[in-house]
This record gives sequence, structure tokens and C-alpha cells, in this order.
Amino acid sequence: MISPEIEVGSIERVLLEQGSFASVTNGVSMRPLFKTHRDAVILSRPTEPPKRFDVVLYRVRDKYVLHRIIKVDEENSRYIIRGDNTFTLEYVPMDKILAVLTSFNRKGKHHSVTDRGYRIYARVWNFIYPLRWLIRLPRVCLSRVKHALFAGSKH
Amino acid sequence: MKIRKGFVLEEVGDSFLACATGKLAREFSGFIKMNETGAFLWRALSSGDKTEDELVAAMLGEYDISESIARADVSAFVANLRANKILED
Repeated sequence: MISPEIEVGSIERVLLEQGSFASVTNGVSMRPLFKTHRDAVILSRPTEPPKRFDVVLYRVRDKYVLHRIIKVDEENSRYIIRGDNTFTLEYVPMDKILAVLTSFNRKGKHHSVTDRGYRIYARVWNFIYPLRWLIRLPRVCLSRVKHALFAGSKH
Repeated sequence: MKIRKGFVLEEVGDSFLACATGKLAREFSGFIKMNETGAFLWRALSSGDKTEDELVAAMLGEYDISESIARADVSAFVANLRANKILED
């Protein structure tokens, strides 16, 4: 979700020095909330442990990922995380969280994560997760058909 | 002069962060941190074309400072934005 051209470790360094940083969004995994290059996010070093529905930043090897906590697994000291537009769960140790989303600019408008509308969106979007599969199904089928046709034409 | 279209400014605690969105994001990947005065000038330059004199006048209307200090602040801020290709004429 964060620009791929950002050097590994640079965000950690900025967070340590400045406490917060701003970035344009990148990728499709947090749609419909964020769209590539349209929106900007403000991320801050957590001052308290992130909670369910917080959007958090962590790193997988050389890639920074900004996804949403959907469950706090206290027993294993980890978060269960998923992008608003992804279908897989990520298991991230609590101490690997680099930053938490505090505010954002979406379609030119400022929003704080404490805004009522945003909080409702986060909960509703998570609640209707099973429906997201239904929305996705026609697209998956279509791409399989296309793939089959394309693969067939090669022979 | 004015701030190029695509920059957004967000308040974080007692500072302000600006970063580029849209097509401009291909040119600018970092962010700009500024204090309240910087944000005041940034907003003035985002809302439409301004001259340095207009920015100085705006600062004098907002802050209790001398004209020479306002002029020096405006000039330094504008030079910084210009050097980083954030302004357009």
C-alpha cells in the first residue's frame, strides 16, 4: 500500500525521528477506502497498542503493507490482519507493527480515524466480508474463462 | 505563484505534513513537514495565485510580527518551495 520505490528501512527511520509520516497510497488491497495515488495517509508510531479495526503498517521482507486488524490474538501476541480488498489473512506479531493510520485524505477531503463515518465503514466492511466473495465471484469466473480461451489459442 | 495541484496538507499533532497525490506522486515520493506558520503560508498558496507581497500582508494580518520578519519568513519559505519544484507560476 505504500510506494514500492521507498527504500527499505527508511520509514522506520523517519518514524523514529519524526514520529509520523505522510505517504500517497499505492495498490488495490485497501479498496474501496484507498485508491492508488488518489489518496494520502498519515501514519504515526503507536502510542498505545493498536486495536481491532485499526489500519496498521508492517513490513514483509522489503515491502511495506498497510492493512486492517480484524482480530487481536492476545494468546499468541499477534494480530490477524486483512486488506479491505484482499481475501487472505495475515498473522503479524504485535512487535512488528511499525505505525498506525491516524488520518487520511481521501478524494481531497480530510478524515480522521476517529470520525464516526469512518468507524462505521470499518465495522460494516468487515461484517459484510462474506458478501465480498459474492461480488468477486463473477470476476474470478470471467478471468478463468479468459485464461482458458487464451491458453487454448496458443495451441 | 501557487502550490502545484495534487499536494495535500494534513495536520498531525502540532505539525503539518504535505505529500503529493495523483500524477504528482510520480515526481514526489516523500513528504514535507512544516510548522503552523508554514501551513498558513502553504494554505494561502494553495487557495490561489499569490505574490510575495500578498503573503506578507496575510502574515501581518494573522501574526503579531514586524514586516521585516514576515518578509524574511515568506521569502525563505517560498525559496524552499521553489527549489523543490512545489510552486508553479
